[in-house]
Amino acid sequence: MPATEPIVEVRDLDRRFAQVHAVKGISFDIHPGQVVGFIGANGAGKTTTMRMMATLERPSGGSIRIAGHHVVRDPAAVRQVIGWMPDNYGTYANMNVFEYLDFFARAYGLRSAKRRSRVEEILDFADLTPLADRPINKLSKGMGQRLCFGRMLLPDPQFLILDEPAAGLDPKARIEFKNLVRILAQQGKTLFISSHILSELGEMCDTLLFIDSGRIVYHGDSEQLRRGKQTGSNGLPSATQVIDISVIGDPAPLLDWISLRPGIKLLDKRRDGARLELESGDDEALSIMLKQMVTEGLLITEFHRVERKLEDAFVDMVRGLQTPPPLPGLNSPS
Amino acid sequence: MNPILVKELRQSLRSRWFEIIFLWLCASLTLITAIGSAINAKNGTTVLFWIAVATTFHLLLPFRTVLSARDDRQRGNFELIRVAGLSAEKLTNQRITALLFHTLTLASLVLPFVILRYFLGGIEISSELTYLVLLTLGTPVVGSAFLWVSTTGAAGRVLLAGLFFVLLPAYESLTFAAAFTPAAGALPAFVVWTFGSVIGTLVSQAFASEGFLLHTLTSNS
Repeated sequence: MPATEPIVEVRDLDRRFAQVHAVKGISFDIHPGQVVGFIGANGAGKTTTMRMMATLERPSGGSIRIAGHHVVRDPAAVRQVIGWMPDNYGTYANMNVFEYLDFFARAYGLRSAKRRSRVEEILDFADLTPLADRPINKLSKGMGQRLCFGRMLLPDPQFLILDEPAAGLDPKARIEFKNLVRILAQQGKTLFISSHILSELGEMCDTLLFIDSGRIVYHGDSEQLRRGKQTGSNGLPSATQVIDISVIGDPAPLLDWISLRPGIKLLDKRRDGARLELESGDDEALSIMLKQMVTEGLLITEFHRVERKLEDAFVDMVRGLQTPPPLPGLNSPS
Repeated sequence: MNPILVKELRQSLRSRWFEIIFLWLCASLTLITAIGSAINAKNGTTVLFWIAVATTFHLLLPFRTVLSARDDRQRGNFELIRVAGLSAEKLTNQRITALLFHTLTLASLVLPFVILRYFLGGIEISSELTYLVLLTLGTPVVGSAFLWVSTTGAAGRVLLAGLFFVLLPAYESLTFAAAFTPAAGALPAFVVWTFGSVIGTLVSQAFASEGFLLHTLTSNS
């Protein structure tokens, strides 16, 4: 956990809409400079949570503090430190790119020369300068997304909330978007990004937050998740690691070695090696195993951990949570 | 300069809606003035002339303001503007200011027709100019009321719209009376008109702001 004070503190956050309990008492912190991916299926509570953080939805219970300001008690102060990019970004007919940014710059209270220079900076940052005179409704989806990204950056916010920003973008636009996120992360901005495209979040984000049915089910880094380690409070069992090994010549000694080791299971064998499963998520156990192999004379040319796709990790986790508990008494000692 | 005003001036003056309103006003005033001149009955066409102007100022322009606000809500811009720090009150006030500017733009189109009618003879120029000014200054109250009606739910909208369409003709009659009644009756009518306009604007704007606020911040928890 970073040593700095969190920029976002969410405590027991709750939101009900009539019969629907959208967010069920979630708590988490986000620290300055983190890029946090917020993942969940449709209806899991992502957008509601983000809207509450953006002061657009009032919580039914709990609290959110952003840069020390309470979102309900002091929304005006919160709005000065956040940037909000909703999934359906707004556009205007009969307005060009420059005018759109100029309008929002005025709304943010930027005046005269400062406003103009800020708009020009944003046009440059979002690579929109050649499009400054183009009507907004003539922009492609990717260009529109960059424009909205730029709009969000006008007041130079510390904390950026992006709801499904990569949805509907073509591969080129996604790469451009990832580059923008990378630059902002390097500038020390804190980003909170939701998406369905988990692999992209894994590349962009250093921390992942999974929400399912209004509850946080995982909060940790993407590497740990790919490897299968669970650090959340979900009570899931510690997972295994899959290792791919190549050797010089005949793989038989490697297969023999694997068969003699408890806690190691052969998954697949090849002409030049094998894939095995180590029944431990620890880096240390992995290191010891490699050391033993080398000490015992196995001619290893390649040794690497096979990381799961984030999608698989997410599906496994949700599936694990949905597994019904054992019936009372069935597994209890008689 | 306030952002909504700048946006509305930039955006709306290029819109198809504004072109239609502009052309409608141009065409109708040209036609009415020409007919009045041809049949030599300027007084007979005065009512028609001012109905065309009042319809434009107090129905078409406020309706366009409502559509613009609706577009902002539906496209999600309303929330972005709120997050940018504009309060619901500012949003409403700035929209009404923008409406007033649009009305002034069109009033500058009406003015030459009034002067032309004066030179063609048969009209009381001071009354006509007073009426033009009152119609222009009356747009905030009518526009605010339109916005208020637009922010209510379906049931409230029917009720308010019903009330509004009783009050609107009354307000238009009062405006007409304040401008065209001979001096003795004009002053009380003018006082009532001013009082009604100011109170109506303040009340309607307050309710419209509340409506806009509820559209962005759900507070039914």
